[in-house]
Amino acid sequence: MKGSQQSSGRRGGRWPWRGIRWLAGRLSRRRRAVVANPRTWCALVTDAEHRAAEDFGRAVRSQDIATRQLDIAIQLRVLLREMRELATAWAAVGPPELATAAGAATENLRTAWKRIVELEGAAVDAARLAVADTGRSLSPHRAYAVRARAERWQTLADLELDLALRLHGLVVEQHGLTSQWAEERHDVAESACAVEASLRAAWSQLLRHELAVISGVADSIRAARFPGTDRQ
Amino acid sequence: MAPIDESARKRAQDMEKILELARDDQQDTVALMERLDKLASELFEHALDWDSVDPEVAARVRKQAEQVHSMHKRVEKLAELEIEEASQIMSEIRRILKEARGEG
Repeated sequence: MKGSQQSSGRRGGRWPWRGIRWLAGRLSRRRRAVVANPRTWCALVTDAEHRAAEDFGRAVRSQDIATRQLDIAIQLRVLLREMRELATAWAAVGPPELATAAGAATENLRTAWKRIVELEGAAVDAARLAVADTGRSLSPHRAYAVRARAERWQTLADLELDLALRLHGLVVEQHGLTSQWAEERHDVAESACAVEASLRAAWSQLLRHELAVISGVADSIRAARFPGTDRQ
Repeated sequence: MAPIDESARKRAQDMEKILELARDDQQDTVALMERLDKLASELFEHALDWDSVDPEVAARVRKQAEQVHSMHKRVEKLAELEIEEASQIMSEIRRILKEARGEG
């Protein structure tokens, strides 16, 4: 048992420290990547708000045009129907020249109607494009929120790293105590060993959680569409 | 079957072409309805984006979305008009053909 404890103590004394240093390094690199100058961020967000407001104004104007065109399209359609009924009536009873004239007028009305519907479609598309632009303009806001979340993750990661370091110190201390008991009283050494095992388990659980937190930071950064890249 | 009146048959054929055009028009109207649907759903999602930025603008965006819905309803009315028109053209064609055969 003593041998196995020593072996585990060696492991506890070598790779975990390397792991903690690696974690600390990752954390500081992420920190450098995430924490930008808040003033720059604020300026970008304000600029984005202006841009978004302009884009939204464009969407509203296009929609207004589409509404007016729809009015015309409906009126034209009613007129077209009446003209078609007239053309049909002339074709059945009237002189052929009147039927031809009514048919031509119907065709003209239909062309006008079709053109209006096309314009209406174009206006709706323009409104949709403007809405999409507005969404893109707003993306710094999303990025800003994600950045704030990343910062909260980092604070948590810092605290956990500190706790992991303390816990690791405790594991090493407990291991020394277990070894001492092993030489004097076997039964006490066993319970000390159990304490050490549970401390070690807590420590490695904390490390796993720490890794998850760092992944959370990384995911947050990836999720953010940072200003300057979103319009590419 | 009774011999068909040529001029009436010609009229019926012309109306058949008009019916085809009416069908085309209906497709355009349906395409317009789809565009409006997309715009409405984009505005809906966009309002959610504005919620966290400026609730006042979010409310305006929702108002725009409502307007698009009302436009959509009117285009639906337009489509109903076209369907009615197409059905009238069809019954007119049937009537002319019956008349031409001396069945009317």
